[in-house]
Amino acid sequence: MPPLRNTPAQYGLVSQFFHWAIVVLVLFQFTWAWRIDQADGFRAQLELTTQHKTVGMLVLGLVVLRLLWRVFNRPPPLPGNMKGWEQKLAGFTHWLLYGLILAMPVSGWLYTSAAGYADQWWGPVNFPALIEPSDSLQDLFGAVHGWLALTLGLVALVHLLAALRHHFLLGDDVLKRMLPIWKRNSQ
Amino acid sequence: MKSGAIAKPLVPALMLVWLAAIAGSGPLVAAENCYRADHDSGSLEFSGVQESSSFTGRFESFVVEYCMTDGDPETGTIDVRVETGSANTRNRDRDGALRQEEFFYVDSYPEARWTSSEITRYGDEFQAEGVLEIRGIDRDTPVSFVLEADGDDWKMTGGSKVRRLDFNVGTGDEDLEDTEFIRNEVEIAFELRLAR
Repeated sequence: MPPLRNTPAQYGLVSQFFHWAIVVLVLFQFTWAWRIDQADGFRAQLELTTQHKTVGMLVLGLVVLRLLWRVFNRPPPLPGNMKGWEQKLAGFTHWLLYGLILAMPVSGWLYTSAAGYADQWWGPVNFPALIEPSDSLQDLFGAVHGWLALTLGLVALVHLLAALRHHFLLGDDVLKRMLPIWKRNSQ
Repeated sequence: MKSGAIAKPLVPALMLVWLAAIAGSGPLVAAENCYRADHDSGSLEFSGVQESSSFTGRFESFVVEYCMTDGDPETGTIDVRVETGSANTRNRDRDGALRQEEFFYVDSYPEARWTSSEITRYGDEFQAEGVLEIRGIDRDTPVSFVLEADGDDWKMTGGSKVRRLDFNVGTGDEDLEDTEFIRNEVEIAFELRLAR
């Protein structure tokens, strides 16, 4: 098992947990968004939406904790043989992903507040409305939430393809260091 | 003798009797005063539970008339008319649904009405028996309220409880009729300033 904290060669268990938990939850969110769109009837839509919203708040909490963890526990550096622009692009993509994963639940929270559904959540949790109900803001944040989702999907795809390129084409450890594999020789 | 010959002297006498009656009408003839309130001078709210979460809405258009004799609320009759299409829960989806055939069916039943039949005082409170009509269905629906004189006006606050399914509100779909999804009981609350 990897250590809890990041090492120069590998992400620690805490960072890996944040990464993979958010991957699973974001996939869940995209699946639920599709199911909401396909759902037949108001009740089914409402139930799926309350689940989607509540899981979104979990993602928001996790990404905030993840960013805090990152502040106090720097990630391992990228391979030294990567070109300067590649390293800058990788850094930009990572921060774009953080920003999008943060903005998605916030835009959804604003959307549901503007739509007058802020009192409906899944299970025992409850979160307040961020803004007063408003038709125009409902339309605005609905559109923003949709565009952010599309952007997140595309950037996450680029992130995945880049990781696969590192693993299969460049043959380095960039993908493996985010997997729960203990690398004794690199400690 | 012509009939007019007798009638003629009687006319002034009859007029005197009539004038005397008018002059003395204070204690003899009861005076009815009607008070009125509407959405500009009061609020009429409803609250329910949907998918375990409570919601509150208000009617943006309604009129209340309370006519009483000699300022005695127990002698009065109350008439409330509500535009069902004015229901506003600050949720575009829900408000749209409320106007549809499954709920208020505004196209066919644009108005709901409550008319009192008997008003009784119990201490500081009044209980008014009456009939509520929604979607053309009448149901006995008591309303309790408190009246507070405020100059020439009355401040009236109170409420009632109705079961939406008694009026076929939220029907035509098994999900809508499921009281686990939308609670049957809907609470009504009002706060009015009744003025002449």
